[in-house]
Amino acid sequence: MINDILVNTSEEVFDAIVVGSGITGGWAAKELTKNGLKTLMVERGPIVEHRKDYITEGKPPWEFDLRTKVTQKEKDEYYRVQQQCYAFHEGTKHFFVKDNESPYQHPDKKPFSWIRGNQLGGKSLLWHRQSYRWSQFDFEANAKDGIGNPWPIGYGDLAKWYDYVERFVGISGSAEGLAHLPDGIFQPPFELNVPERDFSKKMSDMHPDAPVIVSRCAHLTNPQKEQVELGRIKCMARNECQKGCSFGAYFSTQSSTLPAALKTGFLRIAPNSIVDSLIYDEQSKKVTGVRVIDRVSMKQKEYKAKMVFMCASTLGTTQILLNSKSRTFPSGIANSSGMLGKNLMDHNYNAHIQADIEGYDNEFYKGRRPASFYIPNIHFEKSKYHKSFKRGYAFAGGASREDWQSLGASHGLGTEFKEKIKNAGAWKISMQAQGEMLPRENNQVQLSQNHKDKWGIPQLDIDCEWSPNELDMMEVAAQTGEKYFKDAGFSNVKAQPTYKPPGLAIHEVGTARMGADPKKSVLNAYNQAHDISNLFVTDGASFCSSGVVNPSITFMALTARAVDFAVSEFRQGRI
Amino acid sequence: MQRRIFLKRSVSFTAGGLSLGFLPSSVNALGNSAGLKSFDERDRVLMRLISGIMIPETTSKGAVGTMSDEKALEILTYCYSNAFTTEVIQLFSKLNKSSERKNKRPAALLSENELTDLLESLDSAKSPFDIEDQQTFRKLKQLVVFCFCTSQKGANQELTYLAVPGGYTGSIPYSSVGSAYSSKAYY
Repeated sequence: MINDILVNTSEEVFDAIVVGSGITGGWAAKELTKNGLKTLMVERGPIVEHRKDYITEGKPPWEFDLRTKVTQKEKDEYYRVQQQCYAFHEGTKHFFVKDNESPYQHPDKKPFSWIRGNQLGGKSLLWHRQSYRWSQFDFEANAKDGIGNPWPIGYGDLAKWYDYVERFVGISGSAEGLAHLPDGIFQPPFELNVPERDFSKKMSDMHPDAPVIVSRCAHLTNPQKEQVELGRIKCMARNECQKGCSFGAYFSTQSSTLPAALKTGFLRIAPNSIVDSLIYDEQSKKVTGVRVIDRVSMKQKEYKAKMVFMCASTLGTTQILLNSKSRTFPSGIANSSGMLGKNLMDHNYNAHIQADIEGYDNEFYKGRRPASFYIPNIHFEKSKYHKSFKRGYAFAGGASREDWQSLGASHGLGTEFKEKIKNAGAWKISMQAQGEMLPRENNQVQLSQNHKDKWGIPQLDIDCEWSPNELDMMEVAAQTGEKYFKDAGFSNVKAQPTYKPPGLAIHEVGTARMGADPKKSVLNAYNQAHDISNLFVTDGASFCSSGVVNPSITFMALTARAVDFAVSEFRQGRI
Repeated sequence: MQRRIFLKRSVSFTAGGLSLGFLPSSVNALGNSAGLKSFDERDRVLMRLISGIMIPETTSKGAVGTMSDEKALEILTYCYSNAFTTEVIQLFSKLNKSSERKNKRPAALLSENELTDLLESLDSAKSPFDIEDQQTFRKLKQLVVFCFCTSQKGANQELTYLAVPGGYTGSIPYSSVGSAYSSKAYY
């Protein structure tokens, strides 16, 4: 079916072009086509067809030559950065970009790990699927703290759009009644295991401000009619999601938004099309399309449209906008504020806590849960900030029984050792913090003056580092987590602040931020460029702050809301 | 199985260097970036003997019966850094020197009991081995265990492999499964 709608060249003026096909690109395409707009999705990578192209799905480890491990040579030559992602292995590597083909620069002392997936579906095939609404506290924090740019919207503006996307996506989770972690439209949650339940009980007694709940994730546990009609079924708890899921049990472009868009008949896709820049018409003061380089043939071409949605990922979108120079916008399109490329943020995962749990010898579990336990941020408003830093962090973790993966390095030989690795060992528990990063203008990306990629596009210079606020936060997070575990009665508690660079959370946001003031922001409250009425940016670039929770469901809600606005403007002739 | 290996080893010793002919073509094509730190035939025999002692054949297959020793060498050669591969080669050399000193012959020509004693000293960091030797050995052991538990026989007969669990249940009696799971989200 996809082959019928592929575009290699076209003179047609589409109603809309969507650049990118990941989480936001899929949503933009779905919503635009649902409203009857002829839409071209421009994707820099190849087609990945649902089911057919999940080439390693269901493949057991013994069928991989090297049991899912990637050779050192291949990692060194092609995946120097991507190999740092937890989900990178032989069964998933084809969904990661080859670093040598898409290089970027950073100062030697400021490493940044830019994890990418350039194919139809983008990182929607690879994401971690944890899905939490932002709260009013998150949207108000910049204004109240006097940091960065105030968000031009609040929770009330987005709540109904959260409802809308959650119904479609299918989010498993539990309603907890927490103002700082708003409940949503949930399907039944995954279970906590017994030691986790007991930990939750102890925490509710000893630290009632830090409840241990089950994480919320974009996996179907009770598929609804709309989801079943798209061919999606319940999660089978394989937790091999990043190989692709033919069950369509987790939300991806392939499983969800793409089939919905295809059903309308209004979608076309231009794969292998690397957007060099946007075309800007000085007279109409609008974008008229995109300049594209064919990934394979290297030929240049153009696609035209009445409006453009930028959904190419935070840094991908920013790179294209910066490279779209014109007389009016010599430093990048829609950049009259000078804010394009600034305020890059990610989440900070640099606190890890682990411990032993005694007992529960006959307790076990079945299945590989794509969820975890979750402890929401306790520093969610100014009056609750820790004295050492602003904003806060959440914890995510799990309890499980030790097994051969860790016991393999323990003492022993022979029959006894064989028996040892055959059996489940003692219970262990671990968790890591996910901390907010403050917006700072000097955490920024620019176009390289000296380096271009193989398609002749200037590479990004990424200049980003943790500030003392983030580093102090992780020190405290490690201490706090240690206290929680000790108070729960766990033994051998170890808390380790780590020093991984920004990027590895794969939650980069902020480089084309929204705002009420066009002099201080790139986008207005509807993700529409202040400078250009028919240009929208709905991926993470639009964020004013990073918040504490995972951003993807907010990407989706913002995109659906922006399309609703754009369609209305389009129909009224204002775009 | 173990006894057969010990009987065959002298024949193996007469062979030349390891040809790497056992490697799959896809692996040979990619290789190790900085040139192979290859294992010779003596290393290979020693690795087989060590693996057989780590995870012996009992009522079920052991490391050798599942070819986990060979797979471990493949992975060690191609997927690990040259630094660790070099550490392992040096460890083998130290094992041989220690064996020569004590038993007047290389480690691969020791009796099963003699080699087990030597490996127990290594696993416990007892003289002549130190903590660094122990750590290298434990990492090597972990790799053999990995290869054993991800082999078809190891994963399905020794452990419990659930390709499609069908959902997640947070509490079941361990006795109803009776072993650890071999199936993993990430290996």
